Amino acid sequence: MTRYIIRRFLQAIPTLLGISLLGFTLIKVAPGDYVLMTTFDPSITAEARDEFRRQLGHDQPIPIQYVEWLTGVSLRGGDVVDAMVPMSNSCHYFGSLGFTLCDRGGGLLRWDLGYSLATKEPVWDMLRSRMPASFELGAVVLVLVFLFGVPLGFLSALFRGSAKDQGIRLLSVAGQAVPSFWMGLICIFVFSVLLGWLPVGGRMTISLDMKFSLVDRIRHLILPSFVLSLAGVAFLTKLVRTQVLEVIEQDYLRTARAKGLGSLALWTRHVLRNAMLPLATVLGPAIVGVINGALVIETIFAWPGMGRLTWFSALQRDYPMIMGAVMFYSALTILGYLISDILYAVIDPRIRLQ
Amino acid sequence: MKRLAWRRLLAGATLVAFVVPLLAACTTVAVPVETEAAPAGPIQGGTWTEASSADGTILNPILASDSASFDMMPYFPGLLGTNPKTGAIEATELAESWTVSEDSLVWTFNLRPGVTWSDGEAVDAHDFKFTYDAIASELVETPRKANVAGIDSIEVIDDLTVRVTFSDLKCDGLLDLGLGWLPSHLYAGDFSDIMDSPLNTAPAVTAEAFGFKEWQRDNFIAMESNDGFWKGAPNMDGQIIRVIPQASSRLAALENGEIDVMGLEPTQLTRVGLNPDLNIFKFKDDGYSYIGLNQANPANPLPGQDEDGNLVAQDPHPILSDPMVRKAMAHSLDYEAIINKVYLGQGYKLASNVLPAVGWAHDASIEPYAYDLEAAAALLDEAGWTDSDGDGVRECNGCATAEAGVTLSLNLKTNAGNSTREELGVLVQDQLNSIGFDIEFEAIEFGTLVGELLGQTYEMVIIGWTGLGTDPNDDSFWHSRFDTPGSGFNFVSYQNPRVDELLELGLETPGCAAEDRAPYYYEIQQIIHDEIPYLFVTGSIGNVGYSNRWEGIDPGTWSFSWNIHEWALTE
Repeated sequence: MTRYIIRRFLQAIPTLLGISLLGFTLIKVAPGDYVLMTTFDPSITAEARDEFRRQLGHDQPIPIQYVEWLTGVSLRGGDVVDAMVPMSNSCHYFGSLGFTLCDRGGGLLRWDLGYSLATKEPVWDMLRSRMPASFELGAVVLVLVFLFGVPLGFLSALFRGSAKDQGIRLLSVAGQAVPSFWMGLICIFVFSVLLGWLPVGGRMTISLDMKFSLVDRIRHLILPSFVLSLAGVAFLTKLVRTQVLEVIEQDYLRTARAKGLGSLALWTRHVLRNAMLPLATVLGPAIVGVINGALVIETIFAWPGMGRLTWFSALQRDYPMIMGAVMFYSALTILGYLISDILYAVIDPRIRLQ
Repeated sequence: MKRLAWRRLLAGATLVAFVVPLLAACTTVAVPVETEAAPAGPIQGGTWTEASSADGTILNPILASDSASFDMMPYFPGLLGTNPKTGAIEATELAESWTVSEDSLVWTFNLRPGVTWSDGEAVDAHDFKFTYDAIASELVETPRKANVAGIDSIEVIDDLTVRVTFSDLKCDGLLDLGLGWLPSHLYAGDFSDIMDSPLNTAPAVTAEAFGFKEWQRDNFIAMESNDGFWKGAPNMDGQIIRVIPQASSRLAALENGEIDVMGLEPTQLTRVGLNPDLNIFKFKDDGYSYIGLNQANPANPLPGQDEDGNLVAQDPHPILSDPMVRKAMAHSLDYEAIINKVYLGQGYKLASNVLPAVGWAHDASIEPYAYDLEAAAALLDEAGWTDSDGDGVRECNGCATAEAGVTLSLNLKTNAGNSTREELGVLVQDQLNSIGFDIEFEAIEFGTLVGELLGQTYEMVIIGWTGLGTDPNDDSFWHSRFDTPGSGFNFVSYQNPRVDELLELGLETPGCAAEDRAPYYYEIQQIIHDEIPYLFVTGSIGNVGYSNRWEGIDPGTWSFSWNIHEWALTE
């Protein structure tokens, strides 16, 4: 198992490099650019804009910019050591080759995602600062989804064809069909504006002398986590229902029952365990999805999570920030699938990781 | 802090949400706070809470370029004040008075004595010079370099006197001096620590009504009142700006009492108007919406001037370079219906490029184009655009600008996500198609649109200007010098030597007196009206909804919160 995990991690390196190359190229080739976006102001002259672009190195060809982002090494044609402030002291001009090489510091290979263009803050710090909010919401949603999705699916299968089953199935279709932005706005209107029970949005009540209050945090979590978990609960209910129905049709269950196995043991040891297998497939990516953030819910409920950070960086064409988010999510996705695979092996002894 | 509004393209999904940050700038007028008639005095305490659609990016006035950031940093003092009602430049900030040389190039500002940063250091001429030298420094990566491009030198005569010498006469040059000052005593003298200073996210000192307390990104920023504020200690404890991206969530928070103020969209006016706890401040803001008509061939964008400043003949657009076609378009839009249906009445008809807000330069005698489909059709017929095959779309049959048989087909773009513009686009498409155009309308992502606009590869665009400010100079929209594909704002490739000349005369009028400059702008407006590089759709009206639990709020067109230190809770 350990060797398997190590091998998977090593395999991830070329994958991530490939993603970085592809991601960087796509972002750079896409229309619009950071300098244009920030200087889209008629009081800013073309000269000022060109100067800004040159300072940021955005006037360079894409491969050179990529290498710069990846390694922290800048390459410029000609002897431009003096012009490469503030890193002139780490520059060297190679006269025979006719170019200047500067060590700018940082770069992905040195485990550094660089600085956001817009905020001048380290990309990693920006990502990290949004994680608590995303994790908090994500964890609650994940718990809610499994807490409600699994039992509801079971019940539905258990009472197949009954009114209970019909009711649960209707709810799960509705849960998946209702758009979350609409549900979010309705919830805000009913529970915040009309009834005044819950706050409109945000992660906490904001005041000048804030103190941590668990009750306050929970009050802020209720609406977004409810709305965000709806689709998940609906999806899981359907998945579990289908799985359970499939499992109870199997011959070995009939055999087990014929051998006199008790109902409880039958359900927990055989049905549950076998029906859980596909859940393991879902869990890994679900964890990733939950951490990646939920842009729509974050927007409606003013939740300061990672989805909005990524979205706004993309709108602003803040390349280092976008790339940081891309790399982070990619790594997370690889990790998520690895978790799924390991879970698989844990639940199903027939599967061996090699 | 934005003391002198600079022009900016209207980008936000909501007009008003974008304007509020401009208004919120603390342009303040010195008024004694205490009055003897009110012995009890205003109630102390309370927190004023605003909602912003976007988070700020960086709390440094020379590095930021977005209005959300400026709204979040009312800590940095500025040289010149703006009258909140009239927009006139006034000596209400750090410049107590000034003198100007006869050639209008050398400005000597006398600074207000006794103003200090919250750590006790004096705010003086060195801070001003440091700030502007920093912008010019090679070590500082900022889009604001244009602010110092016209400045020849800044000399500190003494701690409270600073002399600015402009290299050329520019009547709106003072606007370049509108940025907030950095506390020079907290930075290295060689500007080497400006880019990565921790002060960029947590300013340590303030010389204004509020000081920085805490910033949680994408969540909120909290500011405490500065009791040492030279205009008087604020009555409130502090101010909070919450980031609430969704307009309807902002409205819910306003109705709920969670926030005190927000910019309103037209659709939100009724609900706020019916709420007894809320007030609405309505004002003609300094912007307008228009349809830009690219007069040059989008397949072959050319600069307006060569390196020596001579006009470069443009590769004309096969349809839009025909003035009769543009005039027909101007007559075929039902502006009244557009303002009422699309802008829900929050707009006014506009005849040309200078807004009525700039009273001395605005020519009110020019009438906007009348909605007249017959006249429009006649113009197209006359121009040689007729529908010979009866498919409802006109073709060139003897037109002056295109080959015979070319259909009257055009592409119209706007930024996706702005529902007002999207609705307008559909209406414009409908109205133009009804007289024989074939308009293809698409809403694309803003960043992509910016690329196409500045690249001049579009045909027609629905967009707007906001924050045009108090000076009528808008040479960057019309002067051939600014027709530079990839970067210039004359992206309609408008070319008229007389307008170039008039714009220069208006900007370089000796003495810069309004009555001397006005005739130039009158003539410009007439020419722009006649030649129609833009279809002027509507002047912008802003609406701000705010809670009535505060008293003392006296909003002006140019600043909502100019006297925020005097506001107090009613109970």
